[in-house]
Amino acid sequence: MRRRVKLYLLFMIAPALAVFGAFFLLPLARLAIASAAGPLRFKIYLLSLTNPRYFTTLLNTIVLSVAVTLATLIISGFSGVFLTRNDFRGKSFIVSMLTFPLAFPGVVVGFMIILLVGRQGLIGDVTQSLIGEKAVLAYSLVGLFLGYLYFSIPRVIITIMAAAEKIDPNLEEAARSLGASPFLVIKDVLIPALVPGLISSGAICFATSMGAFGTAFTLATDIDVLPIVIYTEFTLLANISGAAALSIVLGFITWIALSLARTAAGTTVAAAG
Amino acid sequence: MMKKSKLFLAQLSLTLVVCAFLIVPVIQSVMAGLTVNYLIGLKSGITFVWFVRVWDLYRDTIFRSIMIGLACLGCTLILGVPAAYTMVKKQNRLTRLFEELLVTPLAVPGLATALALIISYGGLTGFRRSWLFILVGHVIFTLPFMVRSVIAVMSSVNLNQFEEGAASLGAGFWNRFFHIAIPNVMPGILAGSLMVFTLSIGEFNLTWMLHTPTTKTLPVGLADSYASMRLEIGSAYTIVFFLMIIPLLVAMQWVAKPKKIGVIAEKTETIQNVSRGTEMRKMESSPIYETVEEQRRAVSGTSLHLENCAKTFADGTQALKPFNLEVGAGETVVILGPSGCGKTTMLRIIAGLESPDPQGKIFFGDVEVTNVSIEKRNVGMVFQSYALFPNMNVAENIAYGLKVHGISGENKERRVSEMLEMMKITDLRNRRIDQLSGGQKQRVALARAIAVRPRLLLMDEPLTALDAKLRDALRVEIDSLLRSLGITAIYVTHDQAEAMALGDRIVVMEIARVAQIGTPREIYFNPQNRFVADFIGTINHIKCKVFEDQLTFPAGRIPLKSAPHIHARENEDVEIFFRPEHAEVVEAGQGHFKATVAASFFMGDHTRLILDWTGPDYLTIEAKGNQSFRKGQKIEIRLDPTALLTLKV
Amino acid sequence: MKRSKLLLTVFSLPIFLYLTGVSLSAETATCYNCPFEWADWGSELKAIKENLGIDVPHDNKNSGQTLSQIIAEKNNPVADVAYFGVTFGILAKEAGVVASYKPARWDEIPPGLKDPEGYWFTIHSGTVGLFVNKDALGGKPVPKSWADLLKPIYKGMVGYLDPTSAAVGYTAAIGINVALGGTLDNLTPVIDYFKKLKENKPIVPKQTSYARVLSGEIPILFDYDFNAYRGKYKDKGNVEFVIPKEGTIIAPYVMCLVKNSPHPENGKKILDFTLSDKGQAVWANAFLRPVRSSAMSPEAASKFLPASEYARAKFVDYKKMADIQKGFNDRYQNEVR
Repeated sequence: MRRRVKLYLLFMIAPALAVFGAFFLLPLARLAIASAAGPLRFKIYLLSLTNPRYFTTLLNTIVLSVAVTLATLIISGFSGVFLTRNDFRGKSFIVSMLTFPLAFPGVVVGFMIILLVGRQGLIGDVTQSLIGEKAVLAYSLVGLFLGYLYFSIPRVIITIMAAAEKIDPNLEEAARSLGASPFLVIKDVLIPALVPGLISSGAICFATSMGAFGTAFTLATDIDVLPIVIYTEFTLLANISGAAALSIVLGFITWIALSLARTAAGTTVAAAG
Repeated sequence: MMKKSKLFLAQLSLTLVVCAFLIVPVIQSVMAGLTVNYLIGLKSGITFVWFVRVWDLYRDTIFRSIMIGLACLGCTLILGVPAAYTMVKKQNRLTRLFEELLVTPLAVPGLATALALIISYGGLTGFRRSWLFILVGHVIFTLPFMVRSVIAVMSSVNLNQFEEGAASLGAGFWNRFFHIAIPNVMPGILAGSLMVFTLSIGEFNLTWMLHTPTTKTLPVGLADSYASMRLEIGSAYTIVFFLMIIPLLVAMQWVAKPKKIGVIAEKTETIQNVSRGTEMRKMESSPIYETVEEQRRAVSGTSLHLENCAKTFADGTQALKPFNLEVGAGETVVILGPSGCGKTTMLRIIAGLESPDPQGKIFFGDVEVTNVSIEKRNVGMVFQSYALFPNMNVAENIAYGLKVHGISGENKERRVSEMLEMMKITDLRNRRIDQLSGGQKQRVALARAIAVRPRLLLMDEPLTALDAKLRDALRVEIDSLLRSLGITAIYVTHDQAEAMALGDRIVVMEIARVAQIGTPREIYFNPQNRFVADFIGTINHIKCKVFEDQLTFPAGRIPLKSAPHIHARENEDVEIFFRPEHAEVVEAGQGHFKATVAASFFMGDHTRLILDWTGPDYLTIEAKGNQSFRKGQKIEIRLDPTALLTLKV
Repeated sequence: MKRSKLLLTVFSLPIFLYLTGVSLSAETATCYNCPFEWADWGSELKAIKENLGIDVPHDNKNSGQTLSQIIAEKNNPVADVAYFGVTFGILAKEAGVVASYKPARWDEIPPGLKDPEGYWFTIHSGTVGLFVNKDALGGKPVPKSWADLLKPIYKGMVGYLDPTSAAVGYTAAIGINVALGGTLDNLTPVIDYFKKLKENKPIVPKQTSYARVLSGEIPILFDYDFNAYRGKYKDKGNVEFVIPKEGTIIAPYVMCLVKNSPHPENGKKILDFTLSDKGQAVWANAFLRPVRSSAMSPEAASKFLPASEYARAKFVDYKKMADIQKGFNDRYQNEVR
């Protein structure tokens, strides 16, 4: 009996394993091999640190991702906690507005930023009327930063709101019964309880920003991020081994970040953008 | 309070700013897509001409995205749902590894995955140029979401119990998968489906690398239009995208909301039950009798014989030491013991959900069933959590076993009605499971188990989840039911009152071993060891020494000849045991020893006294009648010598 | 109820696929760099569909991206035909990614405008200059020279396609170089020019931006005369084409048959069509100079700027222009970017 059940179960998981192996694991292995197939063999990985263009790009991308993560955590932390603990008219409307951009691909995010701070952007018009000069931020590092913020905030806010809702209200009530002010309650009860959620969503935010391609592609700035460089290497320069090596470096960094996220908290959301 | 509102306002403003940051460009794009000239603004007029242009230029991308999205959904359903099922049912190294690996497509940037696919399969030119190439990328990217979504729901729903319930009714593997597992994880499947479809529609990173001019998808078209088309066209195209995903997002929110459950107050139920309880006792000679008589003829209990059964789990823990058990046909045997003693394991071995260690054998009547699976054993099983199938209503639950056994149509309906009547839940026929109270669920569970005329009825702590009054009432009902059915029943509980009330015989269990098997009277009055004596009711003990034909102890003595059943030699150390009701409070000089009242509890029909005396432990005795006692009162106790016990450890 | 839902989904899917399949199963061919808005490829593609029954989707890659992608895909080509500026055609032949094919009417192409071995041939040419949206200038005067664009009044208004990847960008660069007194051996004048232009915050798109000039997003673009004329006469924009005072160059655009392409027969048919009367007429009507000058209609010709203006537009040695392209790219990347 049990052997037959085992067979059935194997039969049920086999197709998924086969597809996954053939179309993901195998290609990734081929990618790794391709990275070493160029003239430099495995030294190409060192190139990511020694080649100035690669290195600055890698650094740019990491710094940008870290900055976006911190900013997102702070902003989403405030707003997320605020929304969980307060009820007011129009709250569900605000929550839907905040989570609507969740489904936007990076391209659309880039377009949103162009509309906001591009050459014909709203902010530009506002500053034009105020100080006579059009502020065009979309095609600079600021624009990129804003774009990354745009797709990070909805994701992180949702995670934080979910985590904040799970906090036992009795904890806060106990603190208050012992005389803690609202500030202390936030500092000593709320934030420590949120830390796992903050770590996990922060790591996911970092991973997503590292791998984001569409946003940078649309904004077409002079500043290159690593995914753009990978793209250019492959499509414009036909540098397969270089592109492969950089992809693996990028994949490795995001994988570490996501592993961190999963050990800190149980749930996972995706990296996409 | 002032501080609170300042903080509130600050947070509200921050949230509103963030909201504006996210939504203003959306509004801008909607406006841009509808105006003749975005740079001039609304003054230039509202028009749909941009939508027409978008349709001209990009309609194939819209269709293609939908097609890929649906195909991706189909693939992930077919691949992911069975895989998720396997991963939940069987947690071994392979499935755990797969679960770990499934996270990687989320970690590896889409660009890299696409690159990897091109390097590996770019050579297959037909494949490379078709939309299937993009589909493969999407399936890899979205499969983890489907699997995780289904696993999450499968783990939270008590699927194992439902499947065991179904198995006990005879349902095979595929029946359980399609009729029990899938319906109950529908929310997970639905949520996963929406997520997969939405992700596929919006996927860009992978698709941009994999596409060719003939296989453009919507996001690829969007990128194109942003790069080279005028703002108005890009905006109109973006609006089309919004219109496609808004319904999906709304649907996702709706699926995620927990449905309201209607619960009927348990209190009213209890009252009804108590009255029904008394009715039941009279019922045996009432009009229902005929049906019950039919039942008795139709249901024949089988005898049960367990030989040398033991259970050692895979990690080495010995849950049960070898034991033998004989149960006669029609007998009700209660397995009683503290938590973790192995009683549920014993029940599951009888059921066929676990198999005994190799040298054990199980017989139903004359037939050996050791290697027969539960589906074929025809046992009725009632679980502690009832395990009623949430995807079916009451009647369907009861009918399930009949369906599995091929009984359908009129016969099935008749039997279901019989069961509903027998358990007095006819008016609950079409109720959904989540609308039932605990007591009602209990009855449905019983009805379902009995409907298929099992040879053996197995009940795993069925009353534990109910409150005291309900429990008492239902205990009476179950007792009557079992007797009237004449079915062989094995009942597991940790409540000794229940055991004594229901069992023809009781199997008292200590950790992993059988302590004693006997009738309630035997267990109570003749416990064979200290554990049983302690576990059933309360027992007191006094260490004595035999001296001059007397049982002597520091506080007093009892002549041996008044307790002829105790055989002890001179100078022997003997420990005597007695129950609280075998001691009485007597006038001074008439007792065997003195003691001081440490605490007294008025129980209604007697008073329970905790006594402090020269012995090491407190004594517990019962004082009859309406005597009242104060703390510190000095009293004299007389024991009934004929009721004294000596026990092995 | 559940079963019928399942059946519905199961059956609707193949029906849907069939319908989409039907719409997608027409004869196709892939062209790299056939943007809708550039040189009226939109009309040309429609004409191809009507006359040949071949569905060619439009594609927005620029010349540089086209060449790179064809090279990257050379082991498994995806494109059937490619269209790019002449220097890119020359480089494509050197990279060995295109096949030789002499379409019908080959003989009617002047010798300097085709590869003798048939690896590329001109279909039309244009003159690079300033494509100006007068409304978007906000009252400022229409610039008349390359030097004008360095003036601060045009800050944020000037655009040019990336010269390292778009043919029009590169052509404009060489045009500026020649106009400012440089030669194909001395690229310093144009490099200096771009460096100075950078201070005026120029917009540097990678792909064709015709629509954005019309909408006013980019008021002044270095672009071809045909795009400007189309904007003026077809789309009725308030636009003007300016041939800068210092001079400029003419550039031909060529087509190639990709080597080992998936649909070579369709590709050949398309190339034939581009030289046919109907095909050339599309371009004539779109204000390009068709390579078969007989296809040019007098009314289209009348819309051009007078010949006196065009006297400032010169031809150059396109082979040499192709040879120095990499050097120019490197200098631009290092010194201007």
